[in-house]
Amino acid sequence: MIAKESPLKGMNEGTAATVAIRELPGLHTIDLRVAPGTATQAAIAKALGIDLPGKPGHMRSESLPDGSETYTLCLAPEWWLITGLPEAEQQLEPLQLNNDYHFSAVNVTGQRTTIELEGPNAREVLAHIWEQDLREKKFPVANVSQGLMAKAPVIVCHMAPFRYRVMVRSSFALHLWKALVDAAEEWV
Amino acid sequence: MSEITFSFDDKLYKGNNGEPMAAALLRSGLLSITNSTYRGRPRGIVGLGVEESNALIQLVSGTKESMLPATVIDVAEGLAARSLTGIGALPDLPEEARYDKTNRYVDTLIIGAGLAGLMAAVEHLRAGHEVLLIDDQPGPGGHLRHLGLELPANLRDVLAHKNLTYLCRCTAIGLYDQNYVVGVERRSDHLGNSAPANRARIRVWHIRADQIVLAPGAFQRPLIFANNDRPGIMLSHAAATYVAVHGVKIFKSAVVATVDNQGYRDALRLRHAGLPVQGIYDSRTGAVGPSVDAAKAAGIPIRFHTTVLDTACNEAGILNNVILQDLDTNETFQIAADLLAVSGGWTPIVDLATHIGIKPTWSADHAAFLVSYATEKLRTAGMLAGDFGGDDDPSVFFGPALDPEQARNAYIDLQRDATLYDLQRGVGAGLSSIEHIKRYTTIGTAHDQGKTSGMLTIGALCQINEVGKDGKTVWSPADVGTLSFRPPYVPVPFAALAGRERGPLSDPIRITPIHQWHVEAGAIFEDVGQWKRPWYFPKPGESMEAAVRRECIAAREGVAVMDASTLGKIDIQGPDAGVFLDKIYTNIFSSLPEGQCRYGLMCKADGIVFDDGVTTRLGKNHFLMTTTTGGAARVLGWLEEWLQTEWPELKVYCTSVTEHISTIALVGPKSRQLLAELVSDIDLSKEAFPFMHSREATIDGIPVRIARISFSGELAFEINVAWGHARYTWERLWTMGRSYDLTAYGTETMHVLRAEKGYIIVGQDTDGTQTPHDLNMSWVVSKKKEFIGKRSFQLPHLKATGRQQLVGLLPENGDEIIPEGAYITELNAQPEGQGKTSHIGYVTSSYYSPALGRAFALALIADGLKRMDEVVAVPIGVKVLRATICDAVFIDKENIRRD
Repeated sequence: MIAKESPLKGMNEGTAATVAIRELPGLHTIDLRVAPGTATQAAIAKALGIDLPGKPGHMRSESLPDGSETYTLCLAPEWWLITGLPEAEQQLEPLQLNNDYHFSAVNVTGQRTTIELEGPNAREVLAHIWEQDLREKKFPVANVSQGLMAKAPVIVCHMAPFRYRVMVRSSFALHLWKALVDAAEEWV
Repeated sequence: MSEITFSFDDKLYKGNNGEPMAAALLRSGLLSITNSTYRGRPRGIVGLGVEESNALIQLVSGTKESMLPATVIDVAEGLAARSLTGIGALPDLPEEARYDKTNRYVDTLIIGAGLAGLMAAVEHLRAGHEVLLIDDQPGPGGHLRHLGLELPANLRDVLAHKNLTYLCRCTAIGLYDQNYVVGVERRSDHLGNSAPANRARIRVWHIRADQIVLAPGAFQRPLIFANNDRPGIMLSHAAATYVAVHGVKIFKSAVVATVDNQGYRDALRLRHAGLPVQGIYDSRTGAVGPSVDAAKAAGIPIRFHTTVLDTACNEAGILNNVILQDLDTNETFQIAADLLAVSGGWTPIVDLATHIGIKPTWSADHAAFLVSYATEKLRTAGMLAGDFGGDDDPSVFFGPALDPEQARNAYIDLQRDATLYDLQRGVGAGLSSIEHIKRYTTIGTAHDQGKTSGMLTIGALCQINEVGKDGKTVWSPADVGTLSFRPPYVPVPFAALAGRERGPLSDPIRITPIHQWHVEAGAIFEDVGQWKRPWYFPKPGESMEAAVRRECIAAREGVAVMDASTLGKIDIQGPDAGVFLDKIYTNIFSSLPEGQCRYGLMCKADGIVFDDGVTTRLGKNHFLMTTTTGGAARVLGWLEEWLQTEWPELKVYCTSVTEHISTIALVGPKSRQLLAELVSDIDLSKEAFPFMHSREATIDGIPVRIARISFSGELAFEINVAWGHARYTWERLWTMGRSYDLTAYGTETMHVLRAEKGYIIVGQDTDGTQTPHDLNMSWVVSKKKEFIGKRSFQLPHLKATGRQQLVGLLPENGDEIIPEGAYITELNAQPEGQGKTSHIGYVTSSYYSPALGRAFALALIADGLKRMDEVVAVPIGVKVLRATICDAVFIDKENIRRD
């Protein structure tokens, strides 16, 4: 199979001693829409072998047997993004054929790419172009939020202390990359 | 402190690195800095900070910023500036310094690092809060700094606390609702030549705080008396600070005029610095307090109920005599002095509080407007809250009574040269509101926005009204009220507000995965919303006209390829998806067989065309909608709005996949042949793969979805491929297409090709007033079902005759391309009464068609569909072109070519 080209081709800037900014290309992503608290939601979670976080703005990570991590982001009451589960579509296929279940699971891997910021200055860099509150008490690890960053629509995930991911629409990725590298001017 | 050299008005001066330019200039003996804007009177430094009303300068070095007070510029090696007479100019240079902004959320924001602010910091840190402390001075301490005193040890420790961030040179310029403050931090000018190149010169801080403490301090105010503007007349606190802290030794003899005990303290400081003080002239009838006692003990002559009435000057216009008046006897006397230090009381900085609508209250005890305010979220502290800290005991006194001649030179707003006389004229003209007076006299409209003049105006108004009318009325400042202040508190350069959002970062540029190929191929780009789309692909030296002609011919006669990845794409799933689309589109989709595509048109509820595109049924409950490039987000929002608010019972989910799927259009009679070289797993023949059908296939193992969709009328295949595989797929087509002379084309050629077929572009051939019927698209409007907009078609004005309808237009001269937007009139239309000729429509699209060998156009013309073959006029300036109305389909009316 021909390899896919990511919007930022795995670009990389800075170091984690201050701040590292890097693309995590090609994270497999499923956009899941299903009514919360329904049998369908439970069936999906069972088929995928993961728990769906119940609260918008929250993220759950789980380690897979192969050592990889899967992240499930709850973006709205009936909207999730599931990253790192390449088998998800196949696992959900039987449910999709069952008329009792109403949901949509769309592969949106190409829709966005992911830029990770890591290092003690990561938050300072983001603060230049992200208007939302990044304080630990308001946006702790495992929180996600949507908004505009440098006028581009993004999803920001707090992965671990001093490590954030910004999921950005592919067409905006280069613009956001430039804006982030520019914001890091005094922090790298 | 190291000694540095800077230049002012082309002369070199020595200064201590980091001190205010005003201090260095005064120490060098420069009293008269500039002339006043309107009356040309010599003026010198008056104050200590942003309240400075005279000493405006323009930087000649660095950014060449203009209209800066010399009191707030810190000198550094190499700094160069020149004086301004109140009128600055933006430099005629690109702004190359870096400016940025940042966002900060904190538990507590304290504005003002004076004693009150620092004490508030102690309290909030003790409560475990994270504190942001901002202050516009170069260092902490507020008045302590001006007194040359060190911070007490406990407050010094506060600044080192791990939970406190202290920003000096950061001015809070606005306070907004929800405890939102904007601060402007000056970060590099004071570093002079040693400032790192990548350091943002000014950083704008957007601060949201759970709690705010406003402790901005106060400005000392002057008094109103005749000739109160001469160099040598200063606010007493400023004069004492320059003399005692900054080592200004140019004065020989000082007089202090005061209304409070601050004047005594400043007199003592002057005296202790070795300057003879001829006397303290106090408007009050008596005064007590430690500072009064100390002045007496120091032997400084004190005279009560006496104030300054007038001044005299030497030939350079600099103060040399002070004329004083006994307020009991009105007797005047004169004292020779080259420094008149005036203490007219304190004016707390109420600006920020008034930004959010808090009304200051007048306190006669403080002779000041105060904001004593405390809620859970916001409180005031220090002088603003009425804690003046000393034994001031001020009287409410703004100056002696002046005759008209004296009033003409009694300045209230030094920068505007506005006098007491001007204010009296305003009152004489019948104005009484301070807001009207401000606009009539221009007081408070200069760069300093009335920081010292505002309170004087209020005081003067009281005086004028006191002696007016019935002779009994006594106005207090409370009756006049304060001016309402608006952000920004100090002038802010536009470049700082723009920050990094300039040039390429001013707006997002959206690109497709094939963008870089287009760049390398020399494409000229067109902005479509935020997208960059190739407009045309000129060969070296080729004109746009020639390139578009070549691209059009390739698409009609050979094979051509276009990047259509910008099309909006929405995945629609659910058992009610078909029903949902029936309601959204004017035509039926629920009956569309799987694997087939259909063009759809959608209207808003008013029956007006809103967007269009082709939707493919991928499965029983699964559709893929395409929208116009610019309409993608709008359409998704529209679908969600109806699903979430009007039809929540419909089981449908919509997901944007615009950037998951890239689309490549392969167009032309040879497109099938070329594609067949790459696609072997499906039969591309017209029998096996009919028009408006969709097939899953692979190219080199890459999954693709190919649809027989044509936006040109030619045989065409739209290849949908994963975003990350698009560049590869495109290049494979390109390589394979070499033997077919495959031609890349851009949006201009796409426009020509679609216009030749009469295909509309929403937003170009529509202007937000067309129904499908107006566009001659009744064929796409179902009569059998309900859909958004259907009922509006019954509205009389949508059914009326005379509506503009989309038609074709052939200019009489086939070589002449009518400009788009040109008005169309009847052939022999004559100007009406007012010299205007009524038009019947306008040209929406106009091109040269290589296929037709002539120019052609689309136009919206009143009742156009009933006017076929009518010749109309198109006035272009003085020229009048003639054109014939025709059907909007110019090529292949029988739709033969697409197979």
